[in-house]
Amino acid sequence: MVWSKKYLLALALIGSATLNAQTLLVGDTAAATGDTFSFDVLQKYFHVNTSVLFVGREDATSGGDTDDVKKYAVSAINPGATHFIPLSPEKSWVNGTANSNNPLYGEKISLLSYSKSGPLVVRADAPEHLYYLASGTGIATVSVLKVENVKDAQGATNADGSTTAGIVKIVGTSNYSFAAVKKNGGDFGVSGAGIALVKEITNGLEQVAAVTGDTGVKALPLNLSSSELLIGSDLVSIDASILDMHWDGILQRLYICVKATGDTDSADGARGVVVAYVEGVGGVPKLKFSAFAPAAAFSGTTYIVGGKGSSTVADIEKVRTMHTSTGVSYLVTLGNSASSAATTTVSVLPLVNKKPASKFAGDVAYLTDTAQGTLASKTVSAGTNLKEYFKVIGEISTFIGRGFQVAASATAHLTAQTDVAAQVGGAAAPGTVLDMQVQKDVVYISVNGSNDEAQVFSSQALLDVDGAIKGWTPWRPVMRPLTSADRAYGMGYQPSVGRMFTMEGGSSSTVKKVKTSTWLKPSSNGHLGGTTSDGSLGFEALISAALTKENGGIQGLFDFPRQTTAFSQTAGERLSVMIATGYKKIMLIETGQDDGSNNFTPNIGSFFHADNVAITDGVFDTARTANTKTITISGGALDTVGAISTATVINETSNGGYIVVGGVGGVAILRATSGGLGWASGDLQKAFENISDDKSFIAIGSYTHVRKVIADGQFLYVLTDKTFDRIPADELNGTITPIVLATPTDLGLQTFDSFSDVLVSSKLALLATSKGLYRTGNTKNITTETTAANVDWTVVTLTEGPTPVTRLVPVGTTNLEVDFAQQTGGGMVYVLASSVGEQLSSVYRLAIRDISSSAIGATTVEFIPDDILSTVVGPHAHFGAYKNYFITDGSLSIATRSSYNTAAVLAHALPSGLTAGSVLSPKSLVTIPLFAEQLEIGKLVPSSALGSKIIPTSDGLLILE
Amino acid sequence: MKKQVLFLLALSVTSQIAARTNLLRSYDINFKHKNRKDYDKNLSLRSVFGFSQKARNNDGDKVSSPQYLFAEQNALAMLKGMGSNTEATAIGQQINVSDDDGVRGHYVVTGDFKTPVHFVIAGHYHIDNEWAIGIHMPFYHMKFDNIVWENQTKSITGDDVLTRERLTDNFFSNVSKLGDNLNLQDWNQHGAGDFTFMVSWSRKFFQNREWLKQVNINARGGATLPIGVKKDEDKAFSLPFGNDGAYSIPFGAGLDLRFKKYAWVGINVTFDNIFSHTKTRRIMTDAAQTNYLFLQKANTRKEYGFVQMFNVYIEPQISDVFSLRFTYAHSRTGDDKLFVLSEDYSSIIANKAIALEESTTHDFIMQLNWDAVNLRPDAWFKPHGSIFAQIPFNARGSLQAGSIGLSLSTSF
Repeated sequence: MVWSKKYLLALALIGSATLNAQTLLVGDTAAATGDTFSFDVLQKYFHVNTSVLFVGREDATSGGDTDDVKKYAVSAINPGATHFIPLSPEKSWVNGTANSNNPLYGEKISLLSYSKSGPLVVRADAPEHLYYLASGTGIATVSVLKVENVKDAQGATNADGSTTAGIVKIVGTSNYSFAAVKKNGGDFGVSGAGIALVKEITNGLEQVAAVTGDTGVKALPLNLSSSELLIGSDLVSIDASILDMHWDGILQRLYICVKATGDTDSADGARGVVVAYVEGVGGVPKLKFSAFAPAAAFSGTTYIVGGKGSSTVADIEKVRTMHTSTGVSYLVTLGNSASSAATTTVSVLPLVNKKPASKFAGDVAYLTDTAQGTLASKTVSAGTNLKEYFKVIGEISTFIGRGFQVAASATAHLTAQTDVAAQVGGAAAPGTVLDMQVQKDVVYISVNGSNDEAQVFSSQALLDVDGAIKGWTPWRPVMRPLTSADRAYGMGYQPSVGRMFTMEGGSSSTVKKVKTSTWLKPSSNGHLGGTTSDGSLGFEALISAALTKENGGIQGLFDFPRQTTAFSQTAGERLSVMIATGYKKIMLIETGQDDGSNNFTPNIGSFFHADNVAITDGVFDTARTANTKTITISGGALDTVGAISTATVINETSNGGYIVVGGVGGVAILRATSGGLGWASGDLQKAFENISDDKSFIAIGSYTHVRKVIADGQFLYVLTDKTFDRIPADELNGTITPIVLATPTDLGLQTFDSFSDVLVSSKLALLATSKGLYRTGNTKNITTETTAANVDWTVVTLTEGPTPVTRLVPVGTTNLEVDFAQQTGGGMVYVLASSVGEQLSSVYRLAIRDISSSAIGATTVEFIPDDILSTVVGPHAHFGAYKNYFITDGSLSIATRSSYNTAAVLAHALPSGLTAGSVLSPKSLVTIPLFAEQLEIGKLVPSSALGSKIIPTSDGLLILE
Repeated sequence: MKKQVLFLLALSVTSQIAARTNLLRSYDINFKHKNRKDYDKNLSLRSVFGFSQKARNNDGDKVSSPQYLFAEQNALAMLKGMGSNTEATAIGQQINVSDDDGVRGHYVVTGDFKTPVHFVIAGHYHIDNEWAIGIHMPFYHMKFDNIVWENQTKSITGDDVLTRERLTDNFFSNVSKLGDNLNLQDWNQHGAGDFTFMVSWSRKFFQNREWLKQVNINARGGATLPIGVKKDEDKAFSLPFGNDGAYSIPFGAGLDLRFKKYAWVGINVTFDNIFSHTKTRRIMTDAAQTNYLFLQKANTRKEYGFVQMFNVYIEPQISDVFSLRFTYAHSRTGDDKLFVLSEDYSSIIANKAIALEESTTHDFIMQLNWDAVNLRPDAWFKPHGSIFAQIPFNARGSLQAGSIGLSLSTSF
């Protein structure tokens, strides 16, 4: 095996390779420039725990292919590596025989999955055989195990089935592999088709007699007559081309989804999901099905996984499972039963999980409980349905799990497509979903959207006080292929530091590029690092040049999505903006705009243009054009503000839109020098059109040490280290008369105490102080109270950890951070309690109820149950060290701190497995590599236009893209 | 013998009156009184005048005296680890984006450590030819002057300006307020050092070899009574004139060899076991704090490191009455340990203070001795005198004073 030595050497070299942002990964040597492979790939399996991506060759083998091409028929890439590992050499061990011809060498791969320690493979030209690469990513000794001629579900009792016409879907576990098989001479979904059960034996694979009471080796039938799928009469059809399977190791259940069409009677219907599990019967493993939800419960076609009515089509195209950070289990589906938008409807449905109960009881009854893993009643009913379990060990009662216990049995129990809690992304996906991955509280999808737009999106679950899902963030862009017409036909989110593998191509049959995003100060990467040939033209370079390290670098970065109320919402005019702030200077950057087809597209590549504007006297009288992408402003009142650390955009109904910035020396507003008007209300258009030349930055109020300016509704809120004020927006055109809502003494604190952060949403304000967290009092309204006493500031007691609260991170159902308490579903707030003096930090999670049409009450702000002990609702994580910022998207949580006592700046990702009941070990934090010159690190800001995650520092931007 | 000498050499280190200085102790063996036949009493006076001051940091580099432990003092670290309800903590909490960028809140402190003069008065009484008792009483004058705190904080970020406005713009006043009257300015102190009582024994062994004509051995032990000026905890630059309130037991031994009438060669080791002592001290409350900026006082018990002092000398006899002695003196003070007698603060953190860590000094001492050996045998007294110079070199993390001195004694 000479080749293996060569690749061992290559792997050793790979270990020290430097990655660039949006790195094109390297495959076979025949690949064209800009491609990973010389052939197409499409089948993939992404192993989340190891973040290894396996891909399979998609196109037919060519006679001219060289060995270097053929051995990549199945290949893999490790996280952080740049080169694929070829897993299909010409010679390998096959079923225990050394130096055999490798059956996968140079073959087209029709199916790829994973079992135990390596990929499961089906060849396109021999779909009746199943292969297992037991050696995984090892290349020193490649071992292929196989079972040939997998049997279908036909045949008399105790007789073997017939060889399948083809395996159409595979999935594996650590003990078994499941293969959806066609009927011999037929298709999947018809009588004779089913699910085969395969296990590993010495030097091979072996199909198991899957049917209980039948010793014949055959698959368990799944067809038009399957009681778990039909409602009323037998199904009319099962679409053999739409099938997905997903194994959940926690629930120990296999989920199979199909597109099933019911019969024509109004009492007929169909269900699109069936649950399977393996049960030992007389010591022999047997495969069994459970109905995901009872047929009798269905009524109409709004209940996602099934429907009743003439010719109902239960079209569930993809299925995954989610175990939230609170430990609650859900099924994630693509599809519905409404015969509409099935390929863009992503939903979650609660699942029964009796594993915690078994763990509590010390048994394994959940393994064979027919309710396990089935649809749970959507009525949360904490303590009855959604139960949590604690194990008493001595005097300590520790959290062991949480789960729904009541299986759905009636219509009222069923999750409907209209339920806010079920609607991932809050709306249809931005395009046909091509791939779907679930990580912790987040669903990632790649879509076939419009050209130039982002093609990978995510949505984060919003959790309620019981730990259940109550809503979702909107679909947020994650990344956009560099080539505008490309799509991500496969993806793999790497949870350790948030990188994403993407398999890109212009169509599903032209996927030759595999890329990974990575953290770096990007340069010449075609996205925020400039064009592929000139990094100096990029977003990062231009901001770094404007806000120099010598002047403290980028001291604030703020994203204003296209939904910002001061921006035009008219198609064709829309834009999104970022504002970078620094010492006596700010930079406005247009991050996205509508293209000629009115598609909102992120700006990438060159942000430089001769029409970019640099204003040095604070007056907006320099001509701008449709090409203007950046405006750098210094001088005027910005000199008074000095170090600028906060910015917002506010829209006043009559006086228009304003940019407001704040910092050490006070607050300045961009408004007309005469009359004080902003740009036309709600009408800032792309390329910053509508900011007239009479605008300049003007200081307002008499503030110092401004921590934050927030705009919510018709009010501007200003937080300094010693005061929290409300300013009516209609005063922003002239002299302001702030209403003081809080000072440290108003809160009963000492004069030397201080404020660090504040959030406002409708009537509710959350105030982070050096002595803890405060909220607006019950029945009070932050928009109308006129004195601090009237606000009735109420302590939100943090159960453990440091007293000072420094940062508040809202999450809501819109892209606007002020909406976390004023939209249906409410929101969440992450609270960073961080003590400089004690060098400690903890992060807590709050569930916030929607108060848009109700008064603030005792249940408006509650802790999400991050239980460790039954007696304490603790923090989500104790960091054991000081952190200056915390941010999360629900799957990747990052805590940072600036350089300290000669130690370099730090950005740490929390372990992806951190959930309720688990304790964060500082050793498990994953370091995101930074660059040495930085001294200060700011708050991570996701770009609402492109999806890139951006960390501002004193020396440029660190970006994940 | 060779092995024994090597063993004694291995025990090397300096005899300091205050931690991390090279000032010699009152009973330093280099000024051992003369043991004369027929004279049972001895009085001596030693005067020492500092002529040069310098400090060496932990890398051995010469630095301005206040920088002997840290190149910069950290005013933001000063605020950490204090009680959660203190103003210091509250100010520190405001600097919460970047609480130490390497310059914010940092000060470069310069100044001069001086030891203008000190005296030691000693008296001895010989019980017989071998046993004697003695007392040693030192007086010192030391000072840190021309102290300048140069603020390194910029003014380009919010944290910079907060640091300036809340802390450094009125630094001395703020430190005094936050640190319970901690004074960061010049320090000037004179007064008594610790009193030492010693019992010594010596015996002469005359030899009849070609070169080696006499071997003297000696041993001594005693007690130090902590009556000296103690460290003023409210003055950042204050140093104690002794063991800072702790009793100690010094003891040692020596070997002196006379080669014909040409020279003496000798080696001496002295140890000082300082007993632990409880008092209110300023303590480190955060690992990043620097030595002059400890705001917090706490009742603490201090276990002192074992002190080892080593001398090796050669003393050629120039004439009957004059000799010239060249001495290498080296001392090592082991790690001190603090036990914070309060549940509010961590002994672990307090013991991270560099000032508690081991320190060493190296000195070269040159003495011109005059001995009235030819005075008539029946004279009722016999004087002895010396002038000397002490030149420090190659120390780490210590204050060093070069000095010249005069020692006069008489036996009667």
